[in-house]
Amino acid sequence: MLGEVERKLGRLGPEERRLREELIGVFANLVVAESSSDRLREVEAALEEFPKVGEEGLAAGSALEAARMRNIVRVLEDRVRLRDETLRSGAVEKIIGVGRERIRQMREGGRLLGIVQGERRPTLYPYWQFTEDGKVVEGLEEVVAASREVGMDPETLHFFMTEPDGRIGGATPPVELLRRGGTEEVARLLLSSGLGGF
Amino acid sequence: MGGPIPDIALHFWEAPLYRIQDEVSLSYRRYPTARHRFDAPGGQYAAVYANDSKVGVFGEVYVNRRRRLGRSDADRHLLELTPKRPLPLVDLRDDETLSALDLDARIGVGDDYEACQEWALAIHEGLPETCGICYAARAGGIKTTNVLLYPERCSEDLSPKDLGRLGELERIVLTAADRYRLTVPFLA
Repeated sequence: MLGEVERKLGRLGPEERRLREELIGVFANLVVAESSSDRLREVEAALEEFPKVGEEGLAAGSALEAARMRNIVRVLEDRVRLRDETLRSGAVEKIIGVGRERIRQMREGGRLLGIVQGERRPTLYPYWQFTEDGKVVEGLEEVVAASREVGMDPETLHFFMTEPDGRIGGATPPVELLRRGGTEEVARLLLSSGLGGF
Repeated sequence: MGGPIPDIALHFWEAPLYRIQDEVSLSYRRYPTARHRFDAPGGQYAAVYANDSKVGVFGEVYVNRRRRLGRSDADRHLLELTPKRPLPLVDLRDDETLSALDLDARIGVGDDYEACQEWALAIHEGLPETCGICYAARAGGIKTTNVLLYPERCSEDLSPKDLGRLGELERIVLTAADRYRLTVPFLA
């Protein structure tokens, strides 16, 4: 494996070889250390030096490879955020005082937001949907319904709710609006996102 | 706004347009209430939106969705719509047209959707020969144009071609991902 990597690197010019060795070094650190947003940002910065596709045309060759790598880093950054910004069902059971089966029913019925990751990985429940006194934030059901109507999956809805939205003043994430009772406005933001319906 | 639409020169659109859809044929329906920029305020007409770039359309669809494509987006389709005849459109990128209508560039990129919807309805009612509106793209970049079509007037004049599922269009999707900083889990 290592020999193969070295052979591939040997075929590259000195500048591209330097960039790739730097990147491999950062990835190696990621593997041996606990992954973190800072490390991923390092990778992202290193990847910025790799070829990009021009204004016209589509990515090909090294630009396509670099685009693929940059996308992987963004996906990993989202993984880190999901780990940090969500709870597993055991913790949710304690917060809202219901059992696992009831949580599943609430999630499937759109009364709780759960990010299902597959059979062998835990379902994740974003923190923001719970209030300090152990309740589900008011208006969540309407928000989940709107997201389903526009074909937005739960993971994207989590990021939609927690990142600032230019249409509501730039710095405000929709979850703040929801907490202030702006359910209708949040639903409207969701329903008007994008370029018409699918 | 008020009164009839003044005389304006229409733009005859001939280039292919691109949409991301669940269906592989052109799909549309009327909505009772407006949602998007040039939707009918009260369901008076159906609206179909497209972008003139197969990469730009990703910016327009996904930047507002927090620059993320979900796993289910892998099964959506990129559709190319080629006009069979030049389609007469009101060109809201054109300074003379904007001046004649007493508008400015905010009609294409501003946040006052209600005003945009009233204008789209006025154009639909006042210019029955038009097939829609072309306007500056807000998220797709200054080199791309969005088009609103009134499909009940021109769907027969468009030839749709399915370019494939997004999950299979790696080059196009990754090019868009790079350009608009999109996160695409199904290509990671």
